[in-house]
Amino acid sequence: MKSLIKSPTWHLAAKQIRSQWRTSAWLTLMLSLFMMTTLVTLLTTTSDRLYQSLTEQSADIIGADLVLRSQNPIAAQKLEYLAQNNIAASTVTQFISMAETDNSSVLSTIRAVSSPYPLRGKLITDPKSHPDTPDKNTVWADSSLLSRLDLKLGDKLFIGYSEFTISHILVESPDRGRGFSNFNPQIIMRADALAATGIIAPGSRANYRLLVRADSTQVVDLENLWKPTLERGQRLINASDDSQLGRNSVANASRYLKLSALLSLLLGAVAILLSLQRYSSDQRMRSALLLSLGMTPKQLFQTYCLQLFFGWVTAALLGTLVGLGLHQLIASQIGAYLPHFSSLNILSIITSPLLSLAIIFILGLPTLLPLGQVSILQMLRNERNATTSRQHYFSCALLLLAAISLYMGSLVLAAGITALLLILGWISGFIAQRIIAVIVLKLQGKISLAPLLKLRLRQQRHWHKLQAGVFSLLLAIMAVLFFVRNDLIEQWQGQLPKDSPNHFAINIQPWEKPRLDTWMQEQQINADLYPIIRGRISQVNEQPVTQVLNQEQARTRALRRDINLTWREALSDSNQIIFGQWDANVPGISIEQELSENLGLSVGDTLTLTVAAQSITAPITSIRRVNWGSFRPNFFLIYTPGLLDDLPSTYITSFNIDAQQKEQSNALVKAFPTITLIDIDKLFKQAQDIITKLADSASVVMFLTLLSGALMLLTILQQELAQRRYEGALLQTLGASQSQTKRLDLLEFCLLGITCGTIAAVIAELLLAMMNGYFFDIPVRAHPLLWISLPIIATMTFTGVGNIVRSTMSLPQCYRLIKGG
Amino acid sequence: MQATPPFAIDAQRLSKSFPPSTASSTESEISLFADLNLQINKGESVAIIGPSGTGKSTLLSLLACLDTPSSGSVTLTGVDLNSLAAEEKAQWRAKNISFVFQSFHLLPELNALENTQLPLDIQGRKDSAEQAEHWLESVGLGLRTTHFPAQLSGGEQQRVAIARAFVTQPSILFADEPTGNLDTNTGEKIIELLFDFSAKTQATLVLITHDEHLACRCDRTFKLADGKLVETNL
Repeated sequence: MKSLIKSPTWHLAAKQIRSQWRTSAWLTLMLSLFMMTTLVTLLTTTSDRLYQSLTEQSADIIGADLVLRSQNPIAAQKLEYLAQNNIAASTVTQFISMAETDNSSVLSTIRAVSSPYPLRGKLITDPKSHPDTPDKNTVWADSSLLSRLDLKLGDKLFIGYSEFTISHILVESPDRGRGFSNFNPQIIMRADALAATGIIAPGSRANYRLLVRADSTQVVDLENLWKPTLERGQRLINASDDSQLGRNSVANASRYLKLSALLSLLLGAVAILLSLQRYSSDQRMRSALLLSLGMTPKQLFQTYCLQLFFGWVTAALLGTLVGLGLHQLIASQIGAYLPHFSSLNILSIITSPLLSLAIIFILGLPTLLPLGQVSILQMLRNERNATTSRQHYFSCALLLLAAISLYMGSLVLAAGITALLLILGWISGFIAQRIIAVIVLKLQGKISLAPLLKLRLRQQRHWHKLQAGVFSLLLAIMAVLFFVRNDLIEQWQGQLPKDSPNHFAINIQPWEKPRLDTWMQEQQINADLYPIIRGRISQVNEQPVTQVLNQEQARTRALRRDINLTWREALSDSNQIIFGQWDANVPGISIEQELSENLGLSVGDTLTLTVAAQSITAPITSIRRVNWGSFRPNFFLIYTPGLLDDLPSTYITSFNIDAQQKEQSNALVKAFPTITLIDIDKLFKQAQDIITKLADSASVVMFLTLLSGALMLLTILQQELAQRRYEGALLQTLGASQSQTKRLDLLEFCLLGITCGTIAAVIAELLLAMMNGYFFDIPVRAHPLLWISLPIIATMTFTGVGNIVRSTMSLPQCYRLIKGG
Repeated sequence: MQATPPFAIDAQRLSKSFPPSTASSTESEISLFADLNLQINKGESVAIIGPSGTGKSTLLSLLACLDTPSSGSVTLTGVDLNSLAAEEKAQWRAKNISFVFQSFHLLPELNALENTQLPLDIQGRKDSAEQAEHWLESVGLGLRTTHFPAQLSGGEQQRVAIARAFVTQPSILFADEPTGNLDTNTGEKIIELLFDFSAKTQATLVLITHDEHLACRCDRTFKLADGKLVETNL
């Protein structure tokens, strides 16, 4: 190493980098490398962290080696069995409820835990030292709860009928559970303090978990023992099992980020390859000179490799730093919404610079190697153009694919996506070129520049295909991301008519109902209380569902879990009978239309419902269409009075409180502490906030990707810059004016921009229609903004980049250029 | 009394000098030539010879109004091009001046026909293809109109360049070392064409060359050396 630093090649490389850093070929190479490293660092670290955060199934995250999750309280025998076998276990009851102070209340996710807790992983609090579980009459709470209720450590809050002191702030804890309830502030309380709160009663919604700490053999034994006896709504989660990761939406987001990284890598690789080729071509004369002065081809190659290495160190270091900075920015936006945001891991930080090192050398070595073989005679002949063989491109492409596969962790995925992008890009490029040709043909005879434009397009057709292909695709992808977000938000907002209920009250215990009815009447709140019973459909026409229904029908989600049911005298407005009749005096069931279709049921069939070991059989007397978006309590099955009255139930209702009367909701929580009040407006705002923040983060990625695309355009334009300058000079020498050549360039770029933008709009509109129609169930509609904005953005980018590259030449300069050959 | 028709090219007291190579230099301007006078009649052929570096090409660029002189004036067929606006100047040049270069300067992506019609396309002429075809036939390349420069020999490329120069039927043709890249035989044929077409179209021909034998074919010959332009008899 020491001898290398002292070698003449080291010094020459260092000098070359100092003298050449402002040459456009070197500068574009470094810029491309910097952009690629920045984007890939940002995307890799964010994707990696997201993936780790929400899909990590390690014992540290779930707080145990094995977890039994259930919708109903877990049988005492299981705990006894574990105690007999000296296996550590603890129970968790998780539910959502209101945490209140005298002035306000916040919907919180509460865990009532037994000691020891947790069994695996670390629970970090502030202050640091804490007992196994909160002391009597104390709770531990997220700092967000404290800030929302304007509390500090030592202050008191109410949960249900009990008062607690906040003894610790929860900094980090395993076993936070899953789903949207994660977004609520979290509270941990002792299991034995739960009963006094009065929140959990038969029929209340809660999630019960049994955490187990055991060695791997015991875990397998327990799984074998418990799996066959799992009840409906129960699941066993093994810390080492990651089979369910695939369906996680965050895993999808993480995958999306990785695919964006792939796009950036491909864009970067094209830009790097083109700038390297131009750089290498510019260096041929210098190489011939150095060789003529006695440098060996090996030394020459070494010099350029070193220069490339120095360049990489600078660009990759800067790129990594900027990428990490942007990542922190995004992390600060979305981190607060994730239940557990894992720390950055070193591998994800070094992936991007290592990948850029691999790419620059994979593409650089074959490009620079021929410099050693440059003929000294070239100096006499003044030949400049180097030819690059197809073999060279092929070997570059293969090596590049290998590097990208390594990054993506799958050759099939990398090759598949690359091939898809290449094919789509090629098709877009081809179509763009054809459209431009047709337009120019139509322009013949109409504008004076048309013949020259036609010739220009013929000259530039290969570059146009590349530019248009890459750019149309890039714009289309970005437009889809942007408009999908808008469509989703707009649809949500559109769903909420002004007077629709904006509050749900759940967990209303039967003994509270009469008092609540009175309270509502006093407050002039129009609310209808529905009894809610959780049960499952066990038989159809008095045969077990597995025997009567086919496989597809049996997979219906409503059969695999307990569903909410109710009984009513009369149906509400959001229900419309489409078959049969609703008569409160004739015992029967009204079934929701889609469920009846999925199960192949019609009026006259009987359903048997199992609720807490009781079975109730009744005929279907009507089929209803339900407006699920009405924000009223809606049910798959509604029974006539008399059938379910004796079963344990809670009540649910929804009502509208306008913004000026928000104190009513506080008064309600105060008067009925065990009721859980859900503020829909707040939930929507929160969801919208998350979407907006995610979209903002995606916008950073989009902007950088667009910048990479613009950089690639710049590289392509610079690639043929000499050719363009020469052509401009010749045209001016032959009688064209400066403004004529300028207009010609402008016309070319505008045409390219408008065509690319329009093609991108077509692709984006088709993709949006597919996504909205199939995935989001949003009515398919046209997006006029897309048709206007994309051609404008594309035209501005093309003309902007074109203007950076093009330079006006005076006539004497033109003549000198022509004379110089 | 009949008015004297203007000269095709009338250069009066033409000087060209350049600033010193470095800004800090205390040297005064470097003068390439000073106070040159040259009048060339319409239809006349004139050769300008001289050793390398004496400024022949610079003189040509001044005569063709591609560059502006440090002092003095140039009028072409009585028109002072430097007094015209840029757009008008370009239009005038497109219609009246043509060039033939040593390195042909054909655009490689365009075929012979497209290269030839380029000056007419610049003018926005609708008959560019027909005219270009006619001139390609005249230079003997009627059957090779769709060939690209890479598919043509050096001599053929220069013939395309000559067709391109004459397609606008210019009043003045500047030829800068037109045979410099060709072997003697081919060069001879090219010169034949050049003189033949100039005579037929009555174009004024200004030829810059090293080749005294070639210069002999012109009506008059000037030698540029040591900043002076002197008419010589070869």
